Amino acid sequence: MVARFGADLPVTLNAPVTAIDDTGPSVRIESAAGSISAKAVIVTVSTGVLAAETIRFTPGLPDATLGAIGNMPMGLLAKVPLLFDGYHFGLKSNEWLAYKVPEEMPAQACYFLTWPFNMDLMVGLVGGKFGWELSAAGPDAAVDFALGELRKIFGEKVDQHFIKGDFTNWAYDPLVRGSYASERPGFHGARAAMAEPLDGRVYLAGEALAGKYSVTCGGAYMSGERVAGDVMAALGAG
Amino acid sequence: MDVPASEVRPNGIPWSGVSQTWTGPMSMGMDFADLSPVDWWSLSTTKPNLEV
Ligand SMILES: Cc1cc2nc3c(=O)[nH]c(=O)nc-3n(C[C@H](O)[C@H](O)[C@H](O)COP(=O)(O)OP(=O)(O)OC[C@H]3O[C@@H](n4cnc5c(N)ncnc54)[C@H](O)[C@@H]3O)c2cc1C
Repeated sequence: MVARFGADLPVTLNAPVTAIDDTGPSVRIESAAGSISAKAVIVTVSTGVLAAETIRFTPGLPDATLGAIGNMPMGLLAKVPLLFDGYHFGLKSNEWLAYKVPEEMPAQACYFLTWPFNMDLMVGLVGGKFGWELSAAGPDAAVDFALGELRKIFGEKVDQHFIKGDFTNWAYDPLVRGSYASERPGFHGARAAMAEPLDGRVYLAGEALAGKYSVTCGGAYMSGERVAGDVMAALGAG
Repeated sequence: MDVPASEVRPNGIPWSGVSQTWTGPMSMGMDFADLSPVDWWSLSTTKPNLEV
């Protein structure tokens, strides 16, 4: 879907941006694939990437924006897809498999999406601090944990039918650094503060800035579309 | 009052561990201790999204 959306646009992949300089006659963007100049730039990286300061902004982002970014840390929801041989344990496609956990929070849990679109996959989900811990421990630990939780429910049938598993590394992928952003308790308004237009030709967009549609793909799209409209208006191209 | 969800959760309700796990880590990627109920509530109109 993403490829189709961008089919008529010149898109360069695998070109992490390292610097954005808004002090010259045009905005200068440095990336692993070289430098380009632009009339404006829309930055849609996560708050995790912005907080890590792997992109150097000149001039620096305003204090209010930096404060808002700091008050919207990335949460983590990671996936443990498990491939089975076609045996579906009596579970229907596209349902949730959750189970009782100890009342002591946070719990160590892996809830599952069963057989999405009737594929032979059980997609485990781990999140929060436990998700970060499992991410640090690596894919084998995550797959072991998810299988162990299933074994408690379905017993030895799990091992009889399991083929292989994997784990998403969004936690420690330097281009993501989590799943999506949340306002820290006590800092409601951070999303709105970060969405305030910056002076100059650098614009921020993405899921974190999508108001009530934040944390979703649809919200990310709407935020980008809104900011693209702002850019066109500012350039007199609307 | 925007305090962590862990400070306002009801205690002693059967299966509350499941609902907290579901709403916190499995939905927002945040444990209740780090979750802002105000932020969560302000996003609650987005529920028709299908998790995949
Ligand atoms: C487990 C899970 C399940 C989800 N389920 C759903 C769902 O069912 N429905 C839904 O609507 N949403 C869902 N989401 C949320 C959705 O995926 C995000 O909200 C959305 O992807 C955010 O889009 P974005 O464009 O703002 O950011 P991202 O998707 O993070 O895109 C940012 C892009 O910037 C790139 N980037 C980073 N640094 C640089 C750099 N220096 N230079 C150049 N590029 C860079 C990254 O590679 C990335 O491609 C889910 C998320 C997770 C983790």
